[in-house]
Amino acid sequence: MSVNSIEQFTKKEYPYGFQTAIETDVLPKGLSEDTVRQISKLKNEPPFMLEFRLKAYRYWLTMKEPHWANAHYPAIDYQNISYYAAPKKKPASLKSMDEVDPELKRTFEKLGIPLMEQKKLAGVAVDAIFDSVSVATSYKAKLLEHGVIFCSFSEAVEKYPDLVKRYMGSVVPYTDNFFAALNSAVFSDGSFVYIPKNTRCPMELSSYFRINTEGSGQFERTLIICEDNSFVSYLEGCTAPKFDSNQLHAAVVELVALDHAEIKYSTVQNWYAGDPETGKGGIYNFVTKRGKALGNDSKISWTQVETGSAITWKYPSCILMGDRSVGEFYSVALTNHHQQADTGTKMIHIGKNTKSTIISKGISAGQAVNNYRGLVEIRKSAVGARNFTQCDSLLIGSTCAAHTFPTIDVRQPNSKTEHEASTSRISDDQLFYFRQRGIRTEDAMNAILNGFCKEVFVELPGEFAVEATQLLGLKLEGSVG
Amino acid sequence: MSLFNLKKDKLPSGVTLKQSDSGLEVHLARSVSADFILEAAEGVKNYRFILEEGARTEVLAFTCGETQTLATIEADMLGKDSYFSFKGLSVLDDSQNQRLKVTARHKAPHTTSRQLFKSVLSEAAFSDFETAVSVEKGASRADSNQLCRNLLLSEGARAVSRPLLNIDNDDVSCTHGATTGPMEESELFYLRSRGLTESAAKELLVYGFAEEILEVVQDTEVRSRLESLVRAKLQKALKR
Amino acid sequence: MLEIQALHARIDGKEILKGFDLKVKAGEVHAIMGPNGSGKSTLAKVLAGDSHYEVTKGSIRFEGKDIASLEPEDRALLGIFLAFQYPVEIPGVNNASFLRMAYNAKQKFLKRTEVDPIEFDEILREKLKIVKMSADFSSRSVNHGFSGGEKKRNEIVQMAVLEPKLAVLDETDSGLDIDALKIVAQGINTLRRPDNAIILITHYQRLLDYVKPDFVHVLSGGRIIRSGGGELARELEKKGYELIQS
Repeated sequence: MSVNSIEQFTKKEYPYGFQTAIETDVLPKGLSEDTVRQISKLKNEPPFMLEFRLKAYRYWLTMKEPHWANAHYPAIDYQNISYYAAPKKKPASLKSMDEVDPELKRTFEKLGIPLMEQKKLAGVAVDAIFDSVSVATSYKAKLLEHGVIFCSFSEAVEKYPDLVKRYMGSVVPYTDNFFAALNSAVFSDGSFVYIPKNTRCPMELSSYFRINTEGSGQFERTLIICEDNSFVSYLEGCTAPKFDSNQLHAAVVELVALDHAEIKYSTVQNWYAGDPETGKGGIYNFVTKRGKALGNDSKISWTQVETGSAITWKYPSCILMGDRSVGEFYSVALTNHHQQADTGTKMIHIGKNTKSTIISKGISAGQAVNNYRGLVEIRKSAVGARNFTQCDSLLIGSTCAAHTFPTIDVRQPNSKTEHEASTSRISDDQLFYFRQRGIRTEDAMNAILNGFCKEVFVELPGEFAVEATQLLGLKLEGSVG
Repeated sequence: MSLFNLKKDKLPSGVTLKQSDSGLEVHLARSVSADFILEAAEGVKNYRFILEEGARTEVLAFTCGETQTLATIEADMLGKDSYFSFKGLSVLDDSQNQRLKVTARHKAPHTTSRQLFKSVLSEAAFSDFETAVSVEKGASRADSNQLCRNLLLSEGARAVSRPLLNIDNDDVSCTHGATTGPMEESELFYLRSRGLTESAAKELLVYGFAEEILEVVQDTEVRSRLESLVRAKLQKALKR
Repeated sequence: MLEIQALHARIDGKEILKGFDLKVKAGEVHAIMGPNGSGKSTLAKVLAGDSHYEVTKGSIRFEGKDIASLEPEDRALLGIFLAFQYPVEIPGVNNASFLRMAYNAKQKFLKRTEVDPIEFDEILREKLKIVKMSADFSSRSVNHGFSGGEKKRNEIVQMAVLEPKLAVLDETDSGLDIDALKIVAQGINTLRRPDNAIILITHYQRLLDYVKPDFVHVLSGGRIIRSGGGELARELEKKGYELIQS
């Protein structure tokens, strides 16, 4: 296929649109206190967990869905969603990969996610979540030898309830926002990571979320705890098949870093963005992600490459409580066709000499709208705080839009904040320059885009940087007509 | 080009004023060039500048000592090749507070906007400055630049900056920036190493910070009045 | 090598080239001179395949092949190079990476092995010397933050790296001071070979003092009205375009 101009550059068939035929337990659609109890029962949860869910559910009933995002979407009917779907062969206590349903194994292979320990992706442990349950976690035993706990959230509730009780909800309480409350009530599964003191996690940890059942929502919950002097790098990936109706994804991710600990959280997201013509069928992605740099000298970095969901609403944030703690946010958000993104970050400086860096690159094409919303708050206690924000938008074609809404609130004179933003485009002249040197439009676009995203890609772990580069190119093939 | 004070001076030809429910509308006809100075003490809180083809205006907003200021300044660049520049200076202390919102809307091709806002806040002063630039479809070759700089001199002061960009057109060149901080240690040190006392150095630096805005005022009488207001305020602030 | 016959081209509905003819053989340097609006830049863009321009009549044959319907990158791979009058800036894209991409595109086309960054760096180093470009060139973005003179020299660096068969230099001398002009001219002369050809599009005769053309053509009203040897350029300089046109 020869691609000759910006307009023809973006349209690739979403390669993960297939659906897996596998027997699944599905809860009937609808949400009530009963549904919450059923979910807890299906998961065999201890009483404290059910309590937590019920409190959250009751609180959620008092809340109103936020609609201030600069995005337009048809109202979500919360009663028209099934809140639990799991493959029939319960993988609750899998002793080995062999027990995983072969159909599931094939699915994940097709998605390029290695469940088989032999075919490892250069030593990355994977927790695979299919619809509402974790189906497999590789390398679990090996990691335990180092004292590292990496398992599904459900398993953590069962085996490590004290840890869960202590930290769950400490960073994102269920009262925080509408979707956090919903998630706290009906969360299905997710990943749990615990790194003990003085441990550098020996391998990259990864979770992979796959929504398979139509009409189901996915509400995963992830909790990562890193004790003193420890380090972990975690990667989150997700895909979903193409459906006609839109899917709801409301997740909560909590990170806690103690003294001198560092958590690196990377996301390369490749959801189905909806039909390129109509926008139907994409994922509604509402996520609350927050990291608490609790300890002194702790560090939390969020790196994300977002290439599509129908609606995205997420603001990975850092609460910088410990003195000299550091928060970082590196993001590339790509919107094309009819996508809408409302994303950004919050950096709350509370401790002394805290530092935050925000580098946000937005790329819009087609009729997409890309919004960046940022908050940098320097509280009075944050003496010596420093923030640097760079927010760049790249527009491709004349029908897309980019809006930035940053707020910088400073209450401590002994601090420094710097915010820079720019808007630019890929011009026909630039493309023609490449072409006159013998380089095809597709390759030219990739080069320009990568130049634009360089500062973010360099933060991604290992081979994911390569993947992100390719993903950008894929997602932008054949844009607006 | 001399600065016209909207309230006091006689308006140049091509500029018409209209009082409406939403505030004062200042209309600049084709190719008209006129600059304005808005002093917040004057009661009218909302201004809208409408620029026809080729019209140019620079608006200076000055707040120094008002207890509470709430103002919006909008510019609609309706005609091509029009130019809107905004310069704002706020020097506040005590528990003075200000909410200022400046919006530049590019609605025609080849339009240019510039915004520069500086504040010096001491004691328990509060400033909330929102600067918005919107580039609408059809406003190709829009060129816009915003910069917001806040200087905090004491622990009770608070500065909120909101630099917004709404771009609906890809053929634009827009940059904006915002910085907030104390005085630069390196600059202070430099002056002191040349023999100035710490307080003289601070005064010089803070005054220089504000002067960038004031120097556009060409009317010497107006300018010296503003400068002495600022000087008095700053001296008081720096005594702390 | 290049044969243009009765070429008519227009942009935005306005016809600029009105029956343009030109024959260029390997080893030759042709200068095309003309007043503003005569169609000089149009010629360059049409040869490079800029889609804003539409060829309505006539033909362009390169090495016997009709290239009027070929895409810009295909013409480039065949060996046509355009040194732009206003080289565009591409921030974020590294000069060396960009050139390596172009170099490898050509290698691939010619079924030769592509080079890795280290190998290319050596190749680039040599070529940078031709226009006295400093080594920090490799770490900068394409034309971003370059002075006018540096941009023009960058075009020649690219020409040196890609070794085209036919180089069309669109007003490469405009905006250059005498020193920069000499460096650029020297660079061009170094790249002259018996198996390549160069078309110099220029308004002023200055460049031609340093890069001696074999043929000089006067372009006016969209076609060539006079052709001659190097002395024609000097005549133009003395008499101006108006006198020649009458």
